[in-house]
Amino acid sequence: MKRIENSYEIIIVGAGHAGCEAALASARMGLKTLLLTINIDKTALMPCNPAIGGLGKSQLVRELDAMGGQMGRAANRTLLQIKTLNSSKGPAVQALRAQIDKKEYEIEMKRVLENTENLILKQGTVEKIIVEGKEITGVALESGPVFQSKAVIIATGTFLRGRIIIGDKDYNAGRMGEYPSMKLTGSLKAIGFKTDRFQTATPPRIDRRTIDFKRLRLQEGDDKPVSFSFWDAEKIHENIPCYLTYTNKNTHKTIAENIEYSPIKSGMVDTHGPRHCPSIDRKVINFPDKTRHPIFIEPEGRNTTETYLQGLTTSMPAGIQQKIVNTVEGLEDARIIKPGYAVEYDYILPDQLNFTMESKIIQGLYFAGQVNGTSGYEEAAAQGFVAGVNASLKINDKEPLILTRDNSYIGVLIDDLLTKELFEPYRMYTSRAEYRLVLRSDNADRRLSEIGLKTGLISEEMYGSVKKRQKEINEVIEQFKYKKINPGSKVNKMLLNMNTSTIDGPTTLHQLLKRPEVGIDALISSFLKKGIAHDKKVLKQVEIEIKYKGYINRQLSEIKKLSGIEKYILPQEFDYFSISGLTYEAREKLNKVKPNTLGQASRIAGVSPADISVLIMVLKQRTGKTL
Amino acid sequence: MINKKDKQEYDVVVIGGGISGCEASYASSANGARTLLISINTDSIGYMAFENYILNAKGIAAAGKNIWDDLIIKNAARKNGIGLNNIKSTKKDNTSGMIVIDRKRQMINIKEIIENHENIETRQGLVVDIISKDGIYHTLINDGTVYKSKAIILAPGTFLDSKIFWGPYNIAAGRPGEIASRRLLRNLIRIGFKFKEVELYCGPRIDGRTLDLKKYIRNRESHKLNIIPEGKETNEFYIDGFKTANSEEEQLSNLREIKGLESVIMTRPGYGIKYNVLSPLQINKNLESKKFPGLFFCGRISGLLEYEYTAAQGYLAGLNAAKKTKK
Repeated sequence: MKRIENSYEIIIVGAGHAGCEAALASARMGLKTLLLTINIDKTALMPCNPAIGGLGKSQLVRELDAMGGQMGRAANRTLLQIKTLNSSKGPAVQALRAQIDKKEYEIEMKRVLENTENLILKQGTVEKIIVEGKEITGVALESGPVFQSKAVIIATGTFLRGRIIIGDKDYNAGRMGEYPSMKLTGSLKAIGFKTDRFQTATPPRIDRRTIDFKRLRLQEGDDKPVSFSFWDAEKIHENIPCYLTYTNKNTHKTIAENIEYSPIKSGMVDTHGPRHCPSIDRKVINFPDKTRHPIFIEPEGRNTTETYLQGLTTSMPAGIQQKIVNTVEGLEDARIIKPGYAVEYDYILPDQLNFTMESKIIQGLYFAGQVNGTSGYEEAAAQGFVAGVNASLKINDKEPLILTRDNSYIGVLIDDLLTKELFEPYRMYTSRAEYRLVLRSDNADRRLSEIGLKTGLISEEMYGSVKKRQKEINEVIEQFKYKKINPGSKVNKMLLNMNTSTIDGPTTLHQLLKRPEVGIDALISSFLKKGIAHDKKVLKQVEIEIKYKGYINRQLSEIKKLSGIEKYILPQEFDYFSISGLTYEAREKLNKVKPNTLGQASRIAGVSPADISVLIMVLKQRTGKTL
Repeated sequence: MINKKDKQEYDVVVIGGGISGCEASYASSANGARTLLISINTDSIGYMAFENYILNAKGIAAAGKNIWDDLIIKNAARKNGIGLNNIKSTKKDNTSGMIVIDRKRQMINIKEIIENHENIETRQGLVVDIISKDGIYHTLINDGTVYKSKAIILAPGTFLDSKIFWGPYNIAAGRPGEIASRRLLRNLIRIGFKFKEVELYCGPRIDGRTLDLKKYIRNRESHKLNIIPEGKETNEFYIDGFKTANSEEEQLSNLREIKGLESVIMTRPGYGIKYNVLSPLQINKNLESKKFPGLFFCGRISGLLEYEYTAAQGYLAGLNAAKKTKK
């Protein structure tokens, strides 16, 4: 028997969203890469919601896309509809959300992986990592083979000693029907890694044929869809709708009557679950006064009748789940195909990592995704990318890629993971980022494509298109600063037509565009006779840059002001749940901890600087007290 | 439209969403029985775990008539067939009437056919027990749900207390990556059924980029393997005729002795599976249990292997179970 060469440069353990991005980044950077998964048929599977993006998460995907990640392109190619969220609000909180055909996403991502040079996808369950001294040297499979490598990226999702819970029943599984990885945690602990248990859950899937659509509100995607990716054109798609309905008093009564069966009450689950995506059981307990909660009804794909119930996450016994579903308007006859369930798994405490995602104690060993205590496909993909890039840079003896809070949401994500104590799986939202007027979903290419170019993950041509656009934006801004309008009856009439006040001295277009009510299109058609030779994307950026410049500066000074928060005493009888501007997580934490000072509040995991800003504002309104 | 009443009561409950279970569900519902198909993971309904081709078994008959054109597997295959032109590497003597199937598309398509049949409902769950009470069957799922029905069709394929193995390694699994069904077997034995353990082998898969297909075809007389593409959108190929449960290293070095495969990389090793099938003489020719009328068996649990036959048997079990519920 010939000896088989089993040597790679980078090995990735797990082919979920973190593993796929890690593998693609490292293979595209020229490193010989092995991607291992327990079951190749489940590559890039989306085990929970059939959507990518959303508030905060959209920014992660766009940033990933700007640097040459795959998720944005894969989403764009397999979406059922796409929507700009918060389109009536400011650009900082706008986001894209795409409904995805899950099976098509798997096929697309696997196709891309399999056609990437230097990348081998292989089935195998990793039993242990192999180290020499303080350096990684490879992994061993449960089935025997040993693979050598210079770096290993652990991206095991919920599979480390995964345990599924429905009601009072449980069994070992990484996802429904799939056996977990029972041995790898032991190998990590033996080397000195600290681990803990987290829990996450997914709602029931129902049979589309049993839904009464007439009683639901239609939720269509945008008529004129934008591309999720900076590099792919908009996809012409069918705009398959979602629907909206609500829980009601009956739903809440049914849950309350059966609450002792909820695993969070019965003791079946004593690990921490995500507050941001709370189970309906928990929502009913925490918001007894709320008469209804929204339920979004989302297709799992074109070819299946299985339909996802966003907002109805529960791992109550299946029979009770069925009763709960049937209390909801339009779902009176709905039949569950897949009951919701919770899964509990090992994660490593992420304070054991550096900003590169490399572990502090073992050189060349990286962690990415849910195994670091995060939640969400987008958060996982972002970490996978950073780990893949950094593992490659290190092997090539190059400077690491360190993303920061002021250049990206990915930077915010990693900084939070490394510095805050996690009490539940971490997910991204806009309120976690203090520079969110700078870190927008729409300008991620301008912020980060240079990194993509330097790592070779985007081409010169792609980068050139971004630079060209940036140049055009600057030119138009200069043009707007230079172009003065002189007061006069004709000009003032035009201004009044724009529903804005008249001018009594020479005024630049730049000054006029700062007015909230004035749009760039109206200015151009009124005052630039020759029009302007730039496309809508450029003008949109000019408008945001000019209009919000003041807000951006003000936000920066707000953050400085936070240094006085230590002296600010908080009232002890205060209902934080009543402040709608706070994240759900922050409200729950503040109510629980009841901090003495704002400074203390700001150090509670789950309370972001943005939450503190909101708190200052609300306290000023209610108590008259200022910083 | 689905009968909205009696969510927990059906004419026929089918346990297992493989090829046989799908055909059984389809035939049962096509013959007027309200049918529930239960699968450990509904994502895998219609999955073909071993070779990804079927023979064009035109002559296959059941219940006195030719049924080939009625089978989902055949109709889905017509849509998802990759075609013989793409697989020049296959053995000459074995290709007549063979349809190579895009494995993932076939699964998606079979599931779609099942889900859109008006009389079939699907349910994800691990069945742990079946109980006969006053002429009514009760099917117990591990999440605590109980379904009642007039008949049950058992089509658990290779999942009954099964283990997969290659080299020195083995793990409890119904298929690679998927959990096995253990309690159901214990409970079937408890009510008097006898089983025996059998073995079956699945070929390895390789990365098509590491295969020199031209060289392989030039030399194909020297070996007995078929190299079959897994689908149009994947680079994986299935190695047919290479039944082995050797260690991964041995499998790989054996493959690399073949011309055209000298530098091949395996994406998935071949494996053996030990699973439980019914001992003979416990069912009649209608596939019904002699001891428990209304309880039917079909597919690999009855000892059959080829998809065409497990499909046909599923069809027959579905037809007979539906008839039974009409009496």
